[in-house]
Amino acid sequence: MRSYRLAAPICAFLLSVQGLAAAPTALSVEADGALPGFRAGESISFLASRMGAAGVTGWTFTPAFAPDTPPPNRIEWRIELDPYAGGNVRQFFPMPGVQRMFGTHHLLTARVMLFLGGQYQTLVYGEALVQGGAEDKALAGFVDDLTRQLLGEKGAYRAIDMSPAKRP
Amino acid sequence: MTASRPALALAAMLAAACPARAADLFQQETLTGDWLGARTALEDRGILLGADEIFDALANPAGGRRQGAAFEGRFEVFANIDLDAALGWRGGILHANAYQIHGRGLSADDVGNLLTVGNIGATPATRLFGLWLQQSFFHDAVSVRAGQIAADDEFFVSQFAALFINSAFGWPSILGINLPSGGPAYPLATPGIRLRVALSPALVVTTGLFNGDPAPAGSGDPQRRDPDGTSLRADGDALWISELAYSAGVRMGDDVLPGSYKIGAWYHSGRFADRRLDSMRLSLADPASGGAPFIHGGDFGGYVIADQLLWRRDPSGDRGLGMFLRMGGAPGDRNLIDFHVDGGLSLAGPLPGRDQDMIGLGVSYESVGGAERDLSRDQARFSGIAVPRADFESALELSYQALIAPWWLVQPDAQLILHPGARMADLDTPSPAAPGDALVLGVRTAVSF
Repeated sequence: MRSYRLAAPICAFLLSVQGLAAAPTALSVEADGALPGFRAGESISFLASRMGAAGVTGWTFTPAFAPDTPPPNRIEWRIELDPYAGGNVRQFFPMPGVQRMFGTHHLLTARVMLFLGGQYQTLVYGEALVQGGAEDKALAGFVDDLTRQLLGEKGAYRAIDMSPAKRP
Repeated sequence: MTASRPALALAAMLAAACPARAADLFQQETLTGDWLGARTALEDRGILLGADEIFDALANPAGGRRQGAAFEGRFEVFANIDLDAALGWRGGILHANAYQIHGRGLSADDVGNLLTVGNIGATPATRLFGLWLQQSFFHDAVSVRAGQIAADDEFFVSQFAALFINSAFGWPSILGINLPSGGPAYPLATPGIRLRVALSPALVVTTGLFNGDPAPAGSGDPQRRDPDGTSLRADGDALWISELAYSAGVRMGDDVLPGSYKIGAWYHSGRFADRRLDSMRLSLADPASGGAPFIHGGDFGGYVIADQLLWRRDPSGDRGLGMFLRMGGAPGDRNLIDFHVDGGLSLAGPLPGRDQDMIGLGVSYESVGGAERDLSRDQARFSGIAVPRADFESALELSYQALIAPWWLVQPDAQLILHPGARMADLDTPSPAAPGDALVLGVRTAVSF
């Protein structure tokens, strides 16, 4: 009987701690530079949406359109289109896939930085050939990969420091 | 009775499966699909194999030399190999393609125009076309392509002109008619090398050096002089062509619409006969002329291209209403065509629910060079026969490209050819007759296998 009396508050405590731990951290998403195939503002919405679908747990993503002051918890994307001289082959009609190796793609470099509590934490970067636009699977996959590299279970943020003191 | 139950069950399963299969068929990228996974497995190894057939059925119910109908097709097989994925050769791409050209076109016998009404028109043959290796450097900012290459892959190309069937909107007359054997373009590629450098994401310069004549020396149809595309000539004159492309966004309302602007120049080192004068500087139509034309050393020209998206329905894509304009010039003393311009509009997704379809209206104009015009005047003067004056050929084309499936398009097409053949003088058989303005109607079907 006594053991039951102790178990109840312990369970309640554990559940509350678990609940607190499961509360996702809200991150604002900003972008410097636009993705190909998007207007400037739409890049941020796309990035926030894709990051939310990338399969990382414990985080939520909200687009931040040119905030007056940087949100303390945020992701900063820095996007640059690279010079690209891939070339072309002539097509007499649109054949899917033929141009995958040639000229119609953009070479994109992106650097993704994580800030928590106003403090810079870590970054990841990557390069990809993308066509651009919301329907581009390569672009979506690129955003997903970088998101997982940064915030996933084996991502850069988990790797730098797991001590509770620095966790939000 | 019991034996029929499995059959009924199987029939029911097939009936249930068929719509799904039909739906899959019309969703997949190619008609033959994934080859039981082999295609994807090859692509994972950097090997992209494919084939396609384009088939044109065209008729001219009015005008031209005579009324007729013609059917021509072009079957292509190609291989693109990403050598990085295939062999670990970073930055390398190997490309090869070959054509089987069949049927006959409408232009030569029926319409009588200079530029074929179908851009696949060629002498029936089975021929190798491209066979080249491309190597990229500095993270793809620089690439070099060498082998048997075609200039119309990358030079004088308009993005929004690709919809049209008339060959005037492809490799332009200023090169296709003036250069020996039509220059290094479909259906004759030639050994060459090209360098492309991206100076910035928006500024790309491309320069190429090609064999000056893709067909072996001789007379008659150059395609018959190299019937299988394997002559791989490395001797003779040279063609140099360079192009600077600038990609820009033009703000329209709250959108920034992509555009591309190009300027190019070319030089051919060969010898070019004057279109009017002989070696004694007499008109070739003059009975006193020896008939040997004056020879010019070299030929040259320049061009500009503008492609600009004017409006887009989906702000995240580059599909919408696009405009194109191409202009090129060359000296009129040694070139049959001394000025070319084409332009038009193409609209993607013109009908509700038909986002992948395109409709376009294009117009082209080829101006006969001054020397050729003077020659037709001389011919009339010396022969006493009132022949038409050489002037121009023009094409007006309205085309609708319906994508039935990602691998299958059907394209109804209407063309109006003004002054077919440009009313050029024929010194051997001067005749006052010239083909009348021609109406061409037809349909293109293309299938990607």
